[in-house]
Amino acid sequence: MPGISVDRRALLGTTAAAALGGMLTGFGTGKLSVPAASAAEPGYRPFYGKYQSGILDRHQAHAVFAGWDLHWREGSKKDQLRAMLQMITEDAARLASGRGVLADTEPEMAQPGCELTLTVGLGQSLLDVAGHGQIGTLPHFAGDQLEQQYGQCDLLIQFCAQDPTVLQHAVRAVSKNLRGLASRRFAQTGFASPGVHGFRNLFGQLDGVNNPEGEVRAEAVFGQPGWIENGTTLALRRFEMDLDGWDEVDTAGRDHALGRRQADGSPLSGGSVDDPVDLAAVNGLGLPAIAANAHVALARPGSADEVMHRRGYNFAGQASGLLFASYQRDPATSFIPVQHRLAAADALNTWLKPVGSGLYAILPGVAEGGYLGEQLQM
Amino acid sequence: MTVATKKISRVIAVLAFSLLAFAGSISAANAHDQLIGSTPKDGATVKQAPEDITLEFSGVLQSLSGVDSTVVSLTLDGEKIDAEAQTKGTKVTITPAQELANGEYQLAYRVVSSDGHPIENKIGFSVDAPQAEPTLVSSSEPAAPSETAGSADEERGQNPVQELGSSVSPVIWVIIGVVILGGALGVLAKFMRQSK
Repeated sequence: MPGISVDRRALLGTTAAAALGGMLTGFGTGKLSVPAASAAEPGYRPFYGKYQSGILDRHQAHAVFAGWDLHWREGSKKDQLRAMLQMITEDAARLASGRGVLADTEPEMAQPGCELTLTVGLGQSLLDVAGHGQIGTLPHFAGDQLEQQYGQCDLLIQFCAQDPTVLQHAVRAVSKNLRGLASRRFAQTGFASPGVHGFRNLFGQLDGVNNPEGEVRAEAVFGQPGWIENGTTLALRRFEMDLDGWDEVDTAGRDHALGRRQADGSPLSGGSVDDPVDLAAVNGLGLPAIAANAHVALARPGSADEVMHRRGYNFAGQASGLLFASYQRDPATSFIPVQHRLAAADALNTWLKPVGSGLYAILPGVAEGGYLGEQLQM
Repeated sequence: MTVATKKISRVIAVLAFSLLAFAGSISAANAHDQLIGSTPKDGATVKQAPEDITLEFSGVLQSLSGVDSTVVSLTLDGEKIDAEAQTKGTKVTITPAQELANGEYQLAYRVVSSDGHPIENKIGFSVDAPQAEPTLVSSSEPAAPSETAGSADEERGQNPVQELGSSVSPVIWVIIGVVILGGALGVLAKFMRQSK
């Protein structure tokens, strides 16, 4: 597809201009570049830009979160890390624009435009190798029953697309090229059908109703202080759901545990999904409309610092549940305190089993010709 | 099959299905725990301020680690009174932060049964302790045991009248009359509901 590189350059120009013009006007690269992208090639999201794609932009229907542990050879670790990131950047740029990776044995699978994004993050272990950045790791949360196979990795790539076949090809192509450099610990597949108010999780609840939008979202994800300019963090947790147990809970019990109505996502303190979660509201008996240990009561951000942007997915198979994925500029003030609150008391905990946990430093976006992680100045 | 008969059979199927669903919802509702008793009883007037109020349910209530799913709201003539609720097994014990003064109380509660279903309702009771001699209750007066029995008796509308001395003003008599009448009506209503 020869036309694409030209279009992408044009796209890059728009993005850069937008960045110069004071970009944090409420929309990330994704939104700002939408006119350019759709004019150029509908079905492809920009790879180059101030931020990586797959974060602020619209939730695609399918995702794979893949994690790798690096193998180190003799010599400079920094050199090896840089070389690997350069290769990933090349692969990701090609896949996102509908081209197969170098020496792709099935490049046809990369072609269909299905809004494929690859979002690359490093664990603290690789930030240590780079000698730049501090995000730490996630602490133990009450109730954690973590399994090694879903644990913290060195490298994480979030692959998202509207089509599962193209998506799986991308995962496979990148994995093939990483063979020898790293071993893949997991490839956690997820799906979601995002609507106006979040998506239905497998409990049947509308997930992400209160997710920040526009400027608030951009500020929560890329505002300062963050670990690096134009970078962010991803908290990835895997929660298995006890759906057999959940079957036994009636509507009143479900709504009570969540604090919202399963039917339409409206909070028990109001009548419409757009109504705020009001913990002070009382019902006809004078009792709090939303229980103190209802999920929304505890998950609700206590301050602007606690706001995070959730972009999770359902998973099903041997076990079913939620791949919780949240982007936030500083997990120490947002994800971690909120998750501690939930782990201690959330009424939904009865039916949730956390088996996976990890925290990743999401690299800043790059311009064409650059590589992901170049800002680490290795 | 004609279109009409198809339609009719579909309507019948829908009706049958909704009937089934209705029956199902009834049995599901019946499976939930209920309040089976309380001290003081709902609608009772007690002659001695209770130190705590207990609610008893038909099943073991949910008590998650770190949180009490039970919430209560105790009010005296609409004014909220601080009270602490403790859930253990099938019982909830509510301890008011202060001694309950005479008056009409309402206790709204919400408990969560072990299947996650919230149950909420309220009970009402009145405290009508003799004002003049509050310490006599604990003395060796023979009146003490009969007073405790009184809470059950008064629903029948007998003893409290005799127990109250002649020093009581006529206004109190009227109030007592109303309370007794209310109690009797409450019991009657309960019986009628049960016999249904």
